[in-house]
Amino acid sequence: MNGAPASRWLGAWGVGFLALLYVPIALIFVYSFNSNVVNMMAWEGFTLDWYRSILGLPTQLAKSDNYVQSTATLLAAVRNSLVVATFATLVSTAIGTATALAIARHRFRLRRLYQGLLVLPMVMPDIVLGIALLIFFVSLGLDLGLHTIIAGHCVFLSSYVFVVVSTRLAGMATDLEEASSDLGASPWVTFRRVTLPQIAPGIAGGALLAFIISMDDLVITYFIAGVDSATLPLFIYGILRRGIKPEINALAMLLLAFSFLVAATGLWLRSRRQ
Amino acid sequence: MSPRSSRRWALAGLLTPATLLLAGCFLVPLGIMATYSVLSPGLYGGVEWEFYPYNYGRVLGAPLGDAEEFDPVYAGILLRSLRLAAVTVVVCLCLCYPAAFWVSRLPGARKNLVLFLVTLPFFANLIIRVYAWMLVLRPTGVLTRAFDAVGLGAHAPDLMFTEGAVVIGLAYVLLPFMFLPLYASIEKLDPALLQASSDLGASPLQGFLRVTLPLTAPGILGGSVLVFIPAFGNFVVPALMGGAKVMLVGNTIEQQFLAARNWPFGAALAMLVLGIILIAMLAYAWRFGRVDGAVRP
Amino acid sequence: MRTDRADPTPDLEKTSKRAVASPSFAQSQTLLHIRGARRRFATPEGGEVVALDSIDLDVHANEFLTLLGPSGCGKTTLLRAIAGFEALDAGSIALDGQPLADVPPYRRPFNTVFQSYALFPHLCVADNVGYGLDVAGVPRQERNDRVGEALALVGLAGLERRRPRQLSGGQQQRVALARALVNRPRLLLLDEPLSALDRHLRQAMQMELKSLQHRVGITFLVVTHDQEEALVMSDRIAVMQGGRVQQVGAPGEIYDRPVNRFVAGFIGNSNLLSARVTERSGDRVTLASDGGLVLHACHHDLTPGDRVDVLLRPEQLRIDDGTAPSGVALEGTLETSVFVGADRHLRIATAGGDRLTALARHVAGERESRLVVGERVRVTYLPEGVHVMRSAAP
Repeated sequence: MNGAPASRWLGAWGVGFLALLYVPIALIFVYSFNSNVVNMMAWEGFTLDWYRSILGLPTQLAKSDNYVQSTATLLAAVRNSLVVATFATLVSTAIGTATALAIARHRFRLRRLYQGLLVLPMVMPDIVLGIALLIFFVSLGLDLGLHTIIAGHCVFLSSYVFVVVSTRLAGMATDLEEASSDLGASPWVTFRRVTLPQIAPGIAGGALLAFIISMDDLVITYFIAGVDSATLPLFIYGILRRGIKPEINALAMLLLAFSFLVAATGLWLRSRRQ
Repeated sequence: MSPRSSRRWALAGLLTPATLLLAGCFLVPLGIMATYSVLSPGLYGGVEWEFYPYNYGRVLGAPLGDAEEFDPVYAGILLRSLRLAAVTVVVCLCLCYPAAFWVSRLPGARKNLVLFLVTLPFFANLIIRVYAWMLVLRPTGVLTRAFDAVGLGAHAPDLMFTEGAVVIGLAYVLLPFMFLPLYASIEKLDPALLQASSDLGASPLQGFLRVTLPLTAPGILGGSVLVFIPAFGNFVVPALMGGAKVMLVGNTIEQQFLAARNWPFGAALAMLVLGIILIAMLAYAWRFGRVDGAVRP
Repeated sequence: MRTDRADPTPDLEKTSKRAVASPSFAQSQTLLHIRGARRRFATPEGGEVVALDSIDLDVHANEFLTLLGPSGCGKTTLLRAIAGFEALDAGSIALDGQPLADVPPYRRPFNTVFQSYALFPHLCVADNVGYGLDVAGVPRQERNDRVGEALALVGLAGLERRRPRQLSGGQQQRVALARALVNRPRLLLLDEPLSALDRHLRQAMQMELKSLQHRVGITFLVVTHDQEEALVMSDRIAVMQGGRVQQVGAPGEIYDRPVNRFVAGFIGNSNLLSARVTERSGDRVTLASDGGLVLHACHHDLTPGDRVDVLLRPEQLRIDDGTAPSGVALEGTLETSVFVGADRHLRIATAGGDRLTALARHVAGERESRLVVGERVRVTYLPEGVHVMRSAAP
């Protein structure tokens, strides 16, 4: 076959592409077990101390080798992230879904405007939204804290949920809803018995995406977080700016494992539905 | 109640929450930011309530006829941000195009697995993905050690805190935004079209230029817009990998807000970023009709 | 209300309809009155499409009525307006004399079999069929009994727990039918019910739908673009074009006595000629076609000089092999001879340039099959077999 050299070349490129995606992450994984305290890039031996240190377990490390002076600070950041992500996900899933339903199933004059407005927070650079919200909250005289972070996250997370649910709704033929109405079901019953079961995977997918993005957001949170409301990404950003110590590898791995678990569950659920 | 009016109530109910959220936490903040951008900076932070257009003059200067406040540093930063964002787009495109082709030709089950693998890193925390490259590029990092290992230690490039490092970091973080739209348009490409092209006497290169490229143009453009926008306004990657040497507009805005405490100037910079992004988006929407077609994965 | 009062068709045509229609039909009631129904749609380009242009139509209780027409004729819009999915711009639809304008679809005692079937993918067959009963709050036991009956009626007993996607196209359609019928609607609306089935299944289902309608005694209103389907199944056919009902009548009547050129051309194979009346004596008229052909026909209402369209069905033309019964003869040249199984379609060109298709039964070894293209042939017809329609104003 004369296409063989070209496809071999493509295959090599593809494998290289995957390697590019994963090798940097794999490096963190390897170094997170390196026992070398002085030069973290030089492999010395295998240790679980970095993980133990993060989790607050006793280690042989000197205090000065750690960033995470107390596991409590770390746990507070984790807790902040979870609180923000949970509330922001709940609110934005409800708002995004309701709006997607309105846009997909109703014809009204400002429909195009709403469509455009809803996509805007998502495609706008984070920093613009972040400082706009900062000025807004400050001029309102609000104290910055978890509540401002949640409000800020809801703005762009609603857009993500809106897009995911809209896609699902677009894939759902309106004739199912018409059939339900034809068989005597009121609009509310039709929604509960036909529309909702049909778009449920979309809503779940949107909520999962919202949760992950909320957990991940650094830039917007950076501007609208208060003194005590640092989230996990903010916490990590703070320590990275101070310099790199081996402990960060273990922390990164734990976080990665969590994200991948959530994402893999979501992607697996989606592939199973189709 | 007639069916029509009950539908109207349902619509109002569905739209109210989004309207409140968008108005209260999006449009009003943007409006306040726009207002701030034409106010005068206060002496110790804060603002003076007087009209002061020179915040823009500081960046755009000559074109606005405000030579006195004009500081070429800021115009330079803006241009550098545009340039690095463009380079990032090109790097992502070159990396992703062949890869997307490769994935589209894989057999069913393998294709799904690879797509899964390509999407997965996107869900990893952004800060961790940036950190992974810090680990590679830092002066004592993996790259240097690799050069040492093959005996070229003296030639090891010191990339950290250069424009190169910023582009690498941005490209790595934004790869999925390029890959997915590209893949979507390449996947739709019917292989019979290329066969028809070669049947009609076109060489592989002609086939690529005349068939493949035009048909995948929407994916290329969509991916480019999706990479360009966050690359242009980014501040995490330049802050961690560019340091003080590679200031981009994102860092400059951050600095104005948190260090220099010149909020009106920061707001003006943000308005400029927003304006440039809107122009890019409108150009894209005008060409392809739909803004919401350009959706992040 | 008696049919006679509402039915605008002239007496002459009504006799034949009674002869063809089912016995119960003659004394049936009018179920649905449609008067002056109009509906326009805006096109994306900013134009306007008139989907329904002043439709008047009555649907009788217990009849099998078909809306027949080419795509875009408005038939589906009319069906959706009856179901309640489209609002009318003007005009009214009334059930038993009660206007339906403000009644939402879910309060109308009609059920629809959708073209796509619209089976709920997340529900099993039994729950699909039981959906209407569930939302109406029918007690569990009765609901299960009726679902079982409905599935037995369409021959799907035993598939209750299957999901729609595990069924074949034909089975899905039966589920859609059962799901609609189980609610005992006053009127069953079927939107191109057979279009997704393959040819053999479609023919079998035509018969089955008709017999099903007899058994359940529910009014069926079917939309189709397939004239054969309409002829086979219907008690009455409403032929639609350009948002208007062109003709309503029994299949035989529509086939034999179409009111205009469009209906004549849409139903069955047809030779359509434009002609002028040259002579009339009693109920015999002589016509001259634009191609110079002289034809004889029966009509009692034309005067010389009238412009007319002439319909001569291919089966009314016989090849004169010397044994045919007497009739009027025409001469021409055999242009093509196409074998289509039971029949042979012969295309004959007359001296003046008119082209006629004649139908010859195919019997192995007979003379027609030995006819050679280019040969001179004589065909005969009976004047009673020629249908003359007044031309629409040019």
